[in-house]
Amino acid sequence: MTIEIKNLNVYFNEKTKLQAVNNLSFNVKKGEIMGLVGESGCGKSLTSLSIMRLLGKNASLTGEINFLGENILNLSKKEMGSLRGKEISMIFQEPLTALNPLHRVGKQISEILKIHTSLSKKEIKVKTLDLMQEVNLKDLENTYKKFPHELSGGQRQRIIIAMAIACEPKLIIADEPTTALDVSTQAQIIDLLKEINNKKHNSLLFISHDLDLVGDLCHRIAIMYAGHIIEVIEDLKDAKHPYTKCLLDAIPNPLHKGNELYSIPGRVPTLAERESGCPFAGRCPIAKERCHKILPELLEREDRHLLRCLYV
Amino acid sequence: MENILEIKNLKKSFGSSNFFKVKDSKAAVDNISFEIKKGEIFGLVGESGCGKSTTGNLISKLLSVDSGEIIYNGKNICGLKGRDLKEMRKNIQMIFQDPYHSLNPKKNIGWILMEPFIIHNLYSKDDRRKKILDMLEIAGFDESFLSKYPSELSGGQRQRVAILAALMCEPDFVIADEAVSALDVSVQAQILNFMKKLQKKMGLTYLFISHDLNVIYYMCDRIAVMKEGKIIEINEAEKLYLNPKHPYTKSLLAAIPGKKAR
Repeated sequence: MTIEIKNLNVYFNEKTKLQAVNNLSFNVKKGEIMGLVGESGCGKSLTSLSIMRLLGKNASLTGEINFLGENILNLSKKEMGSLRGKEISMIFQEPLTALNPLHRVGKQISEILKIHTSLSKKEIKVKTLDLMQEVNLKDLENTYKKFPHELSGGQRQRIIIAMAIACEPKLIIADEPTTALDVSTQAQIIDLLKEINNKKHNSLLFISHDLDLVGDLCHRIAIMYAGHIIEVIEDLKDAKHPYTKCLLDAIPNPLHKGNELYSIPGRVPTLAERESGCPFAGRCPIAKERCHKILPELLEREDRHLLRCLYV
Repeated sequence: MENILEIKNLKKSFGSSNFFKVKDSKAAVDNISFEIKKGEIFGLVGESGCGKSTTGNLISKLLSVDSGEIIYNGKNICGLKGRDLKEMRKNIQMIFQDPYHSLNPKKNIGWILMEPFIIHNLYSKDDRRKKILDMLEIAGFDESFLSKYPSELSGGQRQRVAILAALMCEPDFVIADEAVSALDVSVQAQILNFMKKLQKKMGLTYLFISHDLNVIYYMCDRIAVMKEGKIIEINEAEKLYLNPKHPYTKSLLAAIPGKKAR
């Protein structure tokens, strides 16, 4: 088990205690690609930022995040700093903002090695070029000297990935890494992530709003809605929860051209609007009165299929 | 069916030129030609930087044409100025990608929907109000909506307001530039259905620009694929999707995720 999250809660605002993430529990095993999907505002990015301990001071966390058996919520700032980038690393959505525009990209990769390893300058340069080769960048010496704005979106994301794998971390968190990219570039980056995972057996927590993409890439998928995990499945075909099914139906499907698209009635409740019952009750096609009062447990129904619903 | 819009050998280059440097320009739209029939949804798809948005902006005259012709309802609109241009803009409207930026944050929805009437000086005061209420009803909003501000609305509601504002003057031709790219799937489905409903109701013609092949295929009757400023393939949606001819179209279709799940 690389990382295990137990009953994670994230609150904002001291007075009103707005809860953005409710009792979140899941784990990522060694070498596993775990997907975390949901619509915007469901708390998926907050989860990743909690793992990295990058949330602002106005957020308070309760629960446990056990990384290799140690609760990282108890670590000091300094200990956390030595973990970040070395044991846990992160790939962000927008590679242009994640890179420093004033430094050459090669230098930015070597910076990680300089901080976390005791290699000499020469060794760092060699290792950096190796890393760039590993993420399939071409014309290494030249690219090393380039600034982020001189590279294409796909190349930039490759640089970010090279930085993320520099210290061979046990866990990589990829937060919407391909949302800013075109389909064909996206396919290349996804292949690269798969290849790295195959070769290095690191764990990957892949966060996205794109169900199709997550379905293709991940071994296991957790679906989030309004701060709760509502379903954990291995294959999207087995989806049982009404929300997951609604989401899948809302994707334009080439086979149903001409019909009206299915759309979920209503909208995602805001933080202040969330009620005590099942978070999806207000929009669910099969909700009954009980759903509005009782929050169902996330239970294992079949082999490795977790579900949070009273009526499925 | 007659053509509402014909594009002939359209060209547009952008380049840097200043006092010290000779102009080195790059063609963003390079000699493209196509026509759009009345009442159809025409899709324009391609990767970022292929010139699809530039094409949209050229047609709506947000950019000026380098060379070529844009023939709208039998009239070349490239050189239009002044009153004629304003009249044309009434008939060709745009919907933009990000409803967070395309709506004025300091004005309420009532004002946003009223503005097109004021600009084009249409209808009397009572008629304006009636028209706005009619449109609101189509979108499923009630009257209390008029006094709200864009910041009070969700992303999907905002995009619906942006669409309504574009349709206030009853245009014939609407350019939707990545109109659903900033939205979640469930909201995206609502907006796509809404746009189709309006098209049937008002007899609109859409130029639907997107990078998402699934969405394009779902919405459009005919699709043009653009690459590096050129149109490389135009065909009816079914034919293009099931039987792509150009290798680039094939590679685009192959890159769509989610084939496994279905």
